[in-house]
Amino acid sequence: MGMDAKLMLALVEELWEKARLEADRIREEAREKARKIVEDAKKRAEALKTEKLEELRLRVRRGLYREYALKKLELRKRFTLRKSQVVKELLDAAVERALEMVERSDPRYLESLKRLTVEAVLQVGSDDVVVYCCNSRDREYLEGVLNDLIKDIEARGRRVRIKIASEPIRCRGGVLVVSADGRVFYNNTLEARIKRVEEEFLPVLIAEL
Amino acid sequence: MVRVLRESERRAERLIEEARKDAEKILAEAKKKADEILKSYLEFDEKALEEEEARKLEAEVEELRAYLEKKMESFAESVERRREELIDRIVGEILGLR
Repeated sequence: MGMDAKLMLALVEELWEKARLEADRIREEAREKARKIVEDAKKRAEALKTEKLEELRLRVRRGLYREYALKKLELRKRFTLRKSQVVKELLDAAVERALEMVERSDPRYLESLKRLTVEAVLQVGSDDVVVYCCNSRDREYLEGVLNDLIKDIEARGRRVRIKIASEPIRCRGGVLVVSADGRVFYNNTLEARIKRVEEEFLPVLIAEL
Repeated sequence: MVRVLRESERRAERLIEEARKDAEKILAEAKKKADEILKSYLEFDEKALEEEEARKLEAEVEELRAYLEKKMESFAESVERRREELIDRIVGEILGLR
Protein backbone atom coordinates (compact mmCIF):
# COMPACT_ATOMS: atom_id res chain seq x y z
CA MET A 1 0.00 0.00 0.00
CA GLY A 2 1.27 3.40 -0.95
CA MET A 3 1.56 6.32 1.48
CA ASP A 4 -1.53 8.05 0.06
CA ALA A 5 -3.64 4.98 0.52
CA LYS A 6 -2.41 4.56 4.10
CA LEU A 7 -3.19 8.20 4.88
CA MET A 8 -6.63 7.91 3.41
CA LEU A 9 -7.34 4.75 5.40
CA ALA A 10 -6.25 6.51 8.57
CA LEU A 11 -8.49 9.48 7.80
CA VAL A 12 -11.48 7.30 7.04
CA GLU A 13 -10.84 5.31 10.23
CA GLU A 14 -10.70 8.53 12.29
CA LEU A 15 -13.86 9.81 10.66
CA TRP A 16 -15.68 6.59 11.46
CA GLU A 17 -14.42 6.51 15.02
CA LYS A 18 -15.63 10.08 15.61
CA ALA A 19 -19.00 9.30 14.02
CA ARG A 20 -19.40 6.14 16.18
CA LEU A 21 -18.53 8.06 19.33
CA GLU A 22 -20.98 10.84 18.45
CA ALA A 23 -23.72 8.31 17.69
CA ASP A 24 -23.07 6.54 21.02
CA ARG A 25 -23.14 9.88 22.84
CA ILE A 26 -26.46 10.82 21.21
CA ARG A 27 -28.03 7.47 22.14
CA GLU A 28 -26.64 7.51 25.69
CA GLU A 29 -27.87 11.07 26.21
CA ALA A 30 -31.32 10.04 24.98
CA ARG A 31 -31.34 6.99 27.26
CA GLU A 32 -30.37 9.20 30.21
CA LYS A 33 -33.11 11.70 29.36
CA ALA A 34 -35.61 8.86 29.01
CA ARG A 35 -34.66 7.48 32.43
CA LYS A 36 -35.20 10.93 33.92
CA ILE A 37 -38.55 11.35 32.18
CA VAL A 38 -39.79 8.04 33.59
CA GLU A 39 -38.34 8.74 37.02
CA ASP A 40 -39.95 12.21 37.14
CA ALA A 41 -43.23 10.74 35.98
CA LYS A 42 -43.12 8.20 38.80
CA LYS A 43 -42.39 10.91 41.36
CA ARG A 44 -45.13 13.16 40.01
CA ALA A 45 -47.56 10.28 39.85
CA GLU A 46 -46.75 9.28 43.42
CA ALA A 47 -47.37 12.83 44.66
CA LEU A 48 -50.57 13.13 42.65
CA LYS A 49 -51.71 9.75 43.84
CA THR A 50 -51.19 10.68 47.49
CA GLU A 51 -53.05 13.95 46.96
CA LYS A 52 -55.92 12.41 45.05
CA LEU A 53 -56.17 9.46 47.41
CA GLU A 54 -56.39 11.82 50.37
CA GLU A 55 -59.08 13.83 48.61
CA LEU A 56 -61.00 10.70 47.79
CA ARG A 57 -60.60 9.31 51.29
CA LEU A 58 -61.91 12.56 52.75
CA ARG A 59 -64.88 12.54 50.39
CA VAL A 60 -65.66 8.94 51.25
CA ARG A 61 -65.25 9.65 54.97
CA ARG A 62 -67.56 12.64 54.74
CA GLY A 63 -70.13 10.42 53.10
CA LEU A 64 -69.86 7.78 55.80
CA TYR A 65 -69.26 10.14 58.70
CA ARG A 66 -72.89 10.85 59.57
CA GLU A 67 -73.79 7.18 59.76
CA TYR A 68 -70.88 6.32 62.04
CA ALA A 69 -71.11 9.51 64.09
CA LEU A 70 -74.69 8.54 64.88
CA LYS A 71 -73.59 5.06 65.90
CA LYS A 72 -70.97 6.54 68.24
CA LEU A 73 -73.45 9.01 69.65
CA GLU A 74 -75.91 6.19 70.30
CA LEU A 75 -73.21 4.24 72.18
CA ARG A 76 -72.33 7.25 74.32
CA LYS A 77 -76.01 7.92 74.99
CA ARG A 78 -76.55 4.33 76.08
CA PHE A 79 -73.47 4.52 78.31
CA THR A 80 -74.66 7.72 79.99
CA LEU A 81 -78.11 6.22 80.45
CA ARG A 82 -76.76 3.06 82.09
CA LYS A 83 -74.53 5.15 84.33
CA SER A 84 -77.49 7.32 85.31
CA GLN A 85 -79.49 4.22 86.14
CA VAL A 86 -76.76 2.99 88.49
CA VAL A 87 -76.61 6.40 90.14
CA LYS A 88 -80.40 6.67 90.29
CA GLU A 89 -80.51 3.35 92.17
CA LEU A 90 -78.00 4.74 94.64
CA LEU A 91 -80.04 7.89 95.07
CA ASP A 92 -83.27 5.90 95.54
CA ALA A 93 -81.58 3.80 98.23
CA ALA A 94 -80.28 6.95 99.94
CA VAL A 95 -83.68 8.65 99.82
CA GLU A 96 -85.31 5.55 101.27
CA ARG A 97 -82.77 5.50 104.09
CA ALA A 98 -83.18 9.21 104.81
CA LEU A 99 -86.96 8.88 104.89
CA GLU A 100 -86.70 5.94 107.26
CA MET A 101 -84.68 8.18 109.59
CA VAL A 102 -87.35 10.83 109.32
CA GLU A 103 -90.15 8.33 110.01
CA ARG A 104 -88.58 6.97 113.17
CA SER A 105 -87.34 10.40 114.35
CA ASP A 106 -83.78 9.14 114.26
CA PRO A 107 -81.43 11.38 116.30
CA ARG A 108 -79.58 12.11 113.03
CA TYR A 109 -82.77 13.45 111.50
CA LEU A 110 -83.42 15.65 114.52
CA GLU A 111 -79.89 17.00 114.22
CA SER A 112 -80.55 17.46 110.50
CA LEU A 113 -83.76 19.39 111.18
CA LYS A 114 -81.85 21.89 113.32
CA ARG A 115 -79.11 22.31 110.77
CA LEU A 116 -81.55 22.66 107.87
CA THR A 117 -83.43 25.33 109.80
CA VAL A 118 -80.29 27.30 110.65
CA GLU A 119 -79.07 27.06 107.06
CA ALA A 120 -82.41 28.21 105.65
CA VAL A 121 -82.68 31.12 108.10
CA LEU A 122 -79.17 32.29 107.18
CA GLN A 123 -79.94 31.92 103.48
CA VAL A 124 -83.11 34.02 103.73
CA GLY A 125 -81.06 36.78 105.34
CA SER A 126 -84.02 38.50 106.99
CA ASP A 127 -84.11 39.39 110.71
CA ASP A 128 -87.70 38.24 111.02
CA VAL A 129 -88.58 34.83 109.62
CA VAL A 130 -91.27 32.17 109.73
CA VAL A 131 -90.33 28.49 109.73
CA TYR A 132 -92.77 26.06 108.15
CA CYS A 133 -92.49 22.42 109.18
CA CYS A 134 -93.80 19.28 107.50
CA ASN A 135 -95.70 17.95 110.50
CA SER A 136 -96.59 18.70 114.08
CA ARG A 137 -93.90 16.36 115.42
CA ASP A 138 -91.15 18.38 113.69
CA ARG A 139 -92.80 21.63 114.76
CA GLU A 140 -92.88 20.57 118.41
CA TYR A 141 -89.27 19.50 118.22
CA LEU A 142 -88.16 22.81 116.69
CA GLU A 143 -90.18 24.79 119.23
CA GLY A 144 -88.30 22.86 121.90
CA VAL A 145 -84.90 23.77 120.52
CA LEU A 146 -85.79 27.26 119.28
CA ASN A 147 -83.56 29.03 121.77
CA ASP A 148 -80.63 26.83 120.80
CA LEU A 149 -81.26 27.68 117.16
CA ILE A 150 -81.35 31.40 117.85
CA LYS A 151 -78.10 31.14 119.83
CA ASP A 152 -76.51 29.14 117.03
CA ILE A 153 -77.51 31.80 114.52
CA GLU A 154 -76.31 34.59 116.80
CA ALA A 155 -72.96 32.81 117.08
CA ARG A 156 -72.74 33.23 113.32
CA GLY A 157 -73.20 36.98 113.66
CA ARG A 158 -76.92 37.26 112.92
CA ARG A 159 -79.76 38.37 115.24
CA VAL A 160 -83.07 37.03 114.10
CA ARG A 161 -86.62 36.61 115.31
CA ILE A 162 -87.99 33.18 114.48
CA LYS A 163 -91.61 32.17 114.46
CA ILE A 164 -92.58 28.55 113.95
CA ALA A 165 -95.75 28.37 111.84
CA SER A 166 -98.51 26.30 113.37
CA GLU A 167 -99.84 25.00 110.06
CA PRO A 168 -97.73 22.25 108.47
CA ILE A 169 -96.91 22.28 104.79
CA ARG A 170 -96.98 19.26 102.47
CA CYS A 171 -93.56 17.67 102.66
CA ARG A 172 -91.70 14.62 104.02
CA GLY A 173 -89.11 16.42 106.16
CA GLY A 174 -86.99 19.51 106.53
CA VAL A 175 -88.32 23.06 106.60
CA LEU A 176 -89.37 25.99 104.48
CA VAL A 177 -88.22 29.35 105.84
CA VAL A 178 -89.91 32.55 104.65
CA SER A 179 -89.11 36.13 105.58
CA ALA A 180 -91.91 37.68 107.66
CA ASP A 181 -92.78 40.03 104.81
CA GLY A 182 -93.12 36.99 102.53
CA ARG A 183 -90.64 38.30 99.97
CA VAL A 184 -87.78 35.86 100.42
CA PHE A 185 -87.87 32.14 101.10
CA TYR A 186 -85.49 29.22 101.24
CA ASN A 187 -86.84 25.76 100.60
CA ASN A 188 -84.92 23.29 102.74
CA THR A 189 -87.50 20.52 102.70
CA LEU A 190 -86.20 17.05 101.93
CA GLU A 191 -87.91 17.15 98.53
CA ALA A 192 -86.00 20.31 97.60
CA ARG A 193 -82.77 18.92 99.00
CA ILE A 194 -83.14 15.65 97.10
CA LYS A 195 -83.56 17.66 93.91
CA ARG A 196 -80.48 19.75 94.73
CA VAL A 197 -78.47 16.65 95.56
CA GLU A 198 -79.53 15.10 92.25
CA GLU A 199 -78.58 18.18 90.27
CA GLU A 200 -75.51 19.40 92.12
CA PHE A 201 -73.99 16.71 94.30
CA LEU A 202 -74.43 13.57 92.21
CA PRO A 203 -72.47 14.88 89.20
CA VAL A 204 -69.55 15.58 91.56
CA LEU A 205 -69.87 12.12 93.04
CA ILE A 206 -70.03 10.48 89.61
CA ALA A 207 -66.92 12.31 88.50
CA GLU A 208 -65.15 10.90 91.52
CA LEU A 209 -65.93 7.28 90.59
CA MET B 1 -9.22 9.74 -2.94
CA VAL B 2 -11.44 12.73 -2.41
CA ARG B 3 -14.43 10.71 -3.60
CA VAL B 4 -13.67 7.97 -1.12
CA LEU B 5 -13.38 10.52 1.66
CA ARG B 6 -16.70 12.17 0.77
CA GLU B 7 -18.40 8.79 0.64
CA SER B 8 -17.01 8.02 4.09
CA GLU B 9 -18.29 11.40 5.37
CA ARG B 10 -21.77 10.69 4.03
CA ARG B 11 -21.79 7.29 5.70
CA ALA B 12 -20.62 8.83 8.97
CA GLU B 13 -23.42 11.41 8.74
CA ARG B 14 -25.92 8.62 8.12
CA LEU B 15 -24.61 6.84 11.24
CA ILE B 16 -25.18 9.98 13.30
CA GLU B 17 -28.56 10.53 11.69
CA GLU B 18 -29.59 7.00 12.65
CA ALA B 19 -28.41 7.63 16.19
CA ARG B 20 -30.55 10.81 16.30
CA LYS B 21 -33.57 8.90 15.06
CA ASP B 22 -32.94 6.21 17.70
CA ALA B 23 -32.70 8.96 20.33
CA GLU B 24 -36.02 10.40 19.22
CA LYS B 25 -37.57 6.97 19.43
CA ILE B 26 -36.13 6.38 22.91
CA LEU B 27 -37.51 9.72 24.11
CA ALA B 28 -40.92 9.14 22.51
CA GLU B 29 -41.14 5.76 24.22
CA ALA B 30 -40.13 7.30 27.53
CA LYS B 31 -42.83 9.97 27.19
CA LYS B 32 -45.40 7.31 26.36
CA LYS B 33 -44.31 5.28 29.37
CA ALA B 34 -44.48 8.39 31.57
CA ASP B 35 -48.06 9.05 30.41
CA GLU B 36 -48.99 5.47 31.14
CA ILE B 37 -47.44 5.69 34.60
CA LEU B 38 -49.37 8.86 35.37
CA LYS B 39 -52.57 7.33 34.10
CA SER B 40 -52.14 4.06 35.96
CA TYR B 41 -51.28 5.81 39.21
CA LEU B 42 -54.42 7.89 39.09
CA GLU B 43 -56.74 4.98 38.66
CA PHE B 44 -58.49 4.21 41.93
CA ASP B 45 -61.01 1.65 42.90
CA GLU B 46 -63.40 4.00 44.66
CA LYS B 47 -65.66 1.19 45.80
CA ALA B 48 -62.77 -0.64 47.46
CA LEU B 49 -61.65 2.56 49.13
CA GLU B 50 -65.17 3.17 50.43
CA GLU B 51 -65.28 -0.35 51.81
CA GLU B 52 -61.89 0.11 53.43
CA GLU B 53 -62.96 3.38 55.08
CA ALA B 54 -66.23 1.82 56.23
CA ARG B 55 -64.24 -1.02 57.78
CA LYS B 56 -61.99 1.49 59.56
CA LEU B 57 -64.97 3.47 60.88
CA GLU B 58 -66.70 0.27 61.95
CA ALA B 59 -63.52 -0.69 63.82
CA GLU B 60 -63.55 2.73 65.53
CA VAL B 61 -67.14 2.15 66.61
CA GLU B 62 -66.24 -1.30 67.94
CA GLU B 63 -63.28 0.17 69.77
CA LEU B 64 -65.52 2.79 71.37
CA ARG B 65 -68.10 0.11 72.25
CA ALA B 66 -65.41 -2.00 73.98
CA TYR B 67 -63.99 1.06 75.75
CA LEU B 68 -67.37 2.19 77.07
CA GLU B 69 -68.27 -1.36 78.07
CA LYS B 70 -65.07 -1.63 80.09
CA LYS B 71 -65.62 1.83 81.58
CA MET B 72 -69.19 0.89 82.53
CA GLU B 73 -68.02 -2.34 84.14
CA SER B 74 -65.40 -0.50 86.15
CA PHE B 75 -67.94 2.18 87.14
CA ALA B 76 -70.53 -0.40 88.26
CA GLU B 77 -67.86 -2.34 90.17
CA SER B 78 -66.65 0.81 91.88
CA VAL B 79 -70.22 1.76 92.86
CA GLU B 80 -70.92 -1.75 94.12
CA ARG B 81 -67.71 -1.85 96.16
CA ARG B 82 -68.40 1.53 97.75
CA ARG B 83 -72.19 1.27 97.82
CA GLU B 84 -72.66 1.77 101.57
CA GLU B 85 -70.20 4.64 101.76
CA LEU B 86 -71.83 6.37 98.77
CA ILE B 87 -75.34 5.96 100.15
CA ASP B 88 -74.17 7.39 103.48
CA ARG B 89 -72.68 10.38 101.71
CA ILE B 90 -75.85 11.02 99.72
CA VAL B 91 -77.97 10.65 102.89
CA GLY B 92 -75.64 13.14 104.57
CA GLU B 93 -76.12 15.58 101.72
CA ILE B 94 -79.91 15.17 101.75
CA LEU B 95 -80.09 15.74 105.49
CA GLY B 96 -77.50 18.49 105.47
CA LEU B 97 -75.29 16.61 107.88
CA ARG B 98 -72.06 16.88 105.93
